Amino acid sequence: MLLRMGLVLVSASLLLAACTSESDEPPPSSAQMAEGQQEESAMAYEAGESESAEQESEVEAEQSGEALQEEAERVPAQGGDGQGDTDAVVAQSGDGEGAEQAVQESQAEDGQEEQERVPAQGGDGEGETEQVVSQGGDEEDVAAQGGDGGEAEAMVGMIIESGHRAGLIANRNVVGNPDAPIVITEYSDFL
Amino acid sequence: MIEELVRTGVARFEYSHIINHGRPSMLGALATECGGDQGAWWSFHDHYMSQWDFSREGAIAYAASLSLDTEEFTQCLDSEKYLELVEGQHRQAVADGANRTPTVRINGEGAAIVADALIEQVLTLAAELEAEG
Repeated sequence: MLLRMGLVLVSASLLLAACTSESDEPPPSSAQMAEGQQEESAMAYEAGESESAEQESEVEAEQSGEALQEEAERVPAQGGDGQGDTDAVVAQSGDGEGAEQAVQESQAEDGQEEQERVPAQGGDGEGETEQVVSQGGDEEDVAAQGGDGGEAEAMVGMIIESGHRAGLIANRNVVGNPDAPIVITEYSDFL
Repeated sequence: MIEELVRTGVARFEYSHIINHGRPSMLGALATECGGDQGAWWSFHDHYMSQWDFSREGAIAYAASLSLDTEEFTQCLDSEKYLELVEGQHRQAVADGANRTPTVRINGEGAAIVADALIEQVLTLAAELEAEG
């Protein structure tokens, strides 16, 4: 009898213990465990994004901060303390302009030298023409030839007029003494 | 100076046609030669050196302004009476190496086209001739 009552008590206590454990939390199944892992990973991803977004915003903030700092450093530098930087920038631009000016001046000087050289070398006209051709391009060559042609034509006109005035032979394309020892021939086109 | 040399009979000046610009060049040359039939060769030469109307009508109008016989002039021009002469001068100029205009020769030798240099060459040659003769 006592043995039976002991067994009942033990079973009753076991039941009580079982009831109390069921009320706390049931043991998770494998499916529940998998879902939980996904939720954790998703949360972790979201957390990662937010972390990376935070990091980016921090980086941007740092960068903007640096930029602002730099600007803030620059502005006073231009205005006052950092005159070294400003001066350097101005000096650089000044150097650039100066360099360009120097180049232009040197080119101008070269041009002047060339211009001075041509008449200086031009003792006789033919030499002058050849030097202009060698110094200049085709355009200068053509221009020089055109100018020379104009001079030659003007000279031809003077010769013709003088020939007419002097009553010399002006037979078609010939002016002057038919027996003259020197014959100047011009080959030309009216155009 | 060259005027003086021409005037005194030391030098003679000749003009030779080159046709570098086709029909207008040819018309100017032919009109000049036709003007030469009536003693106006150099007038046409000077005319064409100073203006750029190389039309048939312009040539006839200029002939009329010189009081030339325009009928004779027009017939000469339209018949291309001096075509062979002009073409012959052009061929000769090319054969002489006149590859640009103007080209100047003194006694057939290359000469400067700049007036001062040309005068210098003529004077030098005149001095040489005088020394020889």
